[in-house]
This record gives sequence, C-alpha cells and structure tokens, in this order.
Amino acid sequence: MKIIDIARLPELKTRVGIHGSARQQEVGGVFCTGVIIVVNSN
Amino acid sequence: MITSEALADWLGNGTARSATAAAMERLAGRFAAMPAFAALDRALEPASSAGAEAVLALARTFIEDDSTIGLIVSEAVAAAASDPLCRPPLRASSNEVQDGLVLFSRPTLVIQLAVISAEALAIKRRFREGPASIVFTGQRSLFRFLKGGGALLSLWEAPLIDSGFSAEDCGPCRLFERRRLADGDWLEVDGRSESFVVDRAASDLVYVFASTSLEASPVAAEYDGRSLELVAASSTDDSSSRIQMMLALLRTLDRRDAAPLFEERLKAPHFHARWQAMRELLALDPGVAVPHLREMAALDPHPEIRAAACATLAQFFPEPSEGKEASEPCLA
Repeated sequence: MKIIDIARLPELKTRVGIHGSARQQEVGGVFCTGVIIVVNSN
Repeated sequence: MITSEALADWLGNGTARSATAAAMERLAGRFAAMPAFAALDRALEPASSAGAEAVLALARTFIEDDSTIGLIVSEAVAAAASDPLCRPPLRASSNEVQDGLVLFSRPTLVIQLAVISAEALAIKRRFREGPASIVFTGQRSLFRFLKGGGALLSLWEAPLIDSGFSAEDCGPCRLFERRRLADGDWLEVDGRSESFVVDRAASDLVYVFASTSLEASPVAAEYDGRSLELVAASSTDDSSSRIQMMLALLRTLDRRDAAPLFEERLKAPHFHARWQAMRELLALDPGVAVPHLREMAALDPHPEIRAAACATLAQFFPEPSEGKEASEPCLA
C-alpha cells in the first residue's frame, strides 16, 4: 500500500498541544509542573 | 561567569565543596526521616486506588501539618545559615512570579511549598502585552495560603473538560466570584472546570499546594482574559506526550516492525492521543492502519475522531459507491 505523507492527513478540529511540563527530572533541572498563576492585566 | 569572591573561593576549595555536599546529604536524610513523609508514602497507594478525592484528603493531612512544614523550612534555613551554598535538596519549582520547592513528588500526587512575589506580580501586570490568560489545568488541586498577601483572586468556571471535549462546543468561561485572601485560607480547585487568577496582592503570598493527576481531564484549556473564549488546549498527560514524540520518531525511522506499539496507542484514553497514533500509523504502514481506521470511523466515542477518520477514508481509501447516496453519513 502506498505510503501517505502525514502532513496530508486530517487533523482534529480541536488542536491539542503536547504537555506543557518542563519536568526535567532526569537532569535535575527546573520542575515546572504545578500551579499556573495568572495575573490579571485589567 | 562572574563570581563573587566567596563563590570563587568555594569553587577552588575541594574541601569546602565536599563539606557543602555532605551538609546537603544530611539535610536530605533529615527530610527523608520525617514521619509525615513516611506516612504519605504508606497511605498514597491505597488512596490512589480510591481516586482523586482520597488523594487530596491525604494531601490535606500533610498540608495542615504546621510542625512538619515549619521543620522543613527551619532545617533548610539553618543549613543555609551555616553554609550559604547549601541549598535545600528539593527540586525547584519556579516561574516569573513564583519560587517554590517540591516537597513530595509521586505520579499521583505533587506537593509544593511556594512564594508568589507581590513585586513580580505587579511588574508582570504593568508590562504585560495583550490580555491575560485564564488557564484550566485539568487537574484537581488544593491550596493552603499560609500568607494570603491581602491578595484579591477572581474565580472562574468553564464547561467541564471531559473525554468528549471539543474546542468548537466548549463555550466561554465566566467569572463567578471575587475573593480577598486571608492568612490560612484554603482553596480547592477542580481544574477540569475551575480556575483562579491573582488580580493583585499587597504583599507576598506563601502557600502549600497539592495536585493530583488522577481523574484529570484529557486537556488543559487556556481562555482569553478579554473575550473569555478558548484560545488553546494542551495535553495533561506528560507520558502520553512523550510517547507521541516517540511514535513520530519511530515513523520517521520507518520502523514498521514497531506497528504493534502504534496499535496499542489507538486505545489510549485521551481522544487526541488516539488520533495522533492513528495519523502516525497511517504514515508508517497504511495496510496495518486501515482496519483500525474503519473501526474508529464507526465506533470511536469522540465525534471529531469519527469525522477525521471518515474524511481520511474518503480521501485516501475510497470504496466503490455500491449505489450509496453521497450524503450518507460515514459509519465505516
């Protein structure tokens, strides 16, 4: 069967990014999982 | 690198560096020996089996234990007082307004102690470009504000983010309460439908925070602070996102022998992971993918996946019409 270029395949209408964590535990880096504090600019 | 004289001395002195490392090890040992951590570890497995509610109830017993929290801080302060280069042997949890330490981290429960800087909040607020976001994390969490900082919070709600989440149908979020924080206040947030924003604070906020990944929604949702409409969604599942990248790598390497791994991911609990696995499998080995694609088109519980699968079948694998009407819905 002919190989399909992945870029031509339909995406879902709901686009979902990959997980936002920068949980670099394996290198002992910054642990960013957790609270997302947002500040209102109004 | 520009170093202070004290740091330069320390860097050049192996004995001093070893002493600092030993102090950090002693501190780690004292933390590990605290009964509250052992109790958490013992109770976490049965609590995790019982679900998010039980895990947060367990976290509450730790968070309200002032003696343990106080001991952690005083031990760390004492170690730093005797050796300024002795850092607490705990992971940092930081962003532009918050500095924290991860006190406990297991797959089903993370507990942090953190400070939100009132000054950093004010700077962020003053120099922000564009509207704020309101983020629904998709996870359930519990906050205890040891110092409320006189902060004013706005509490927001959005339609529940569940397994059938769709950007088209999710609707706007809405403000449902403004609350002035006092020292000692608790706040339980179901990130599948609730969020909060720190509008302003008179002084720093100090809080202990617990979050569980159990029963999390498939995505975290970010809403625009002005229009209140959804602007973005991202996966709540760290491992699933890593697997997604690995599938892309295997496909790029043309590892058709790995197709069974892709097929396994077609049953992933989160809708976006299922479709991403299907796209990768179609690009890797369409012969293996097509029977699964037909099944998805007919049976997947998420309507967007059924629609995408039908569109893929029509575009790449059209069948003879067999007298069917063109407008007939695809049920594969």
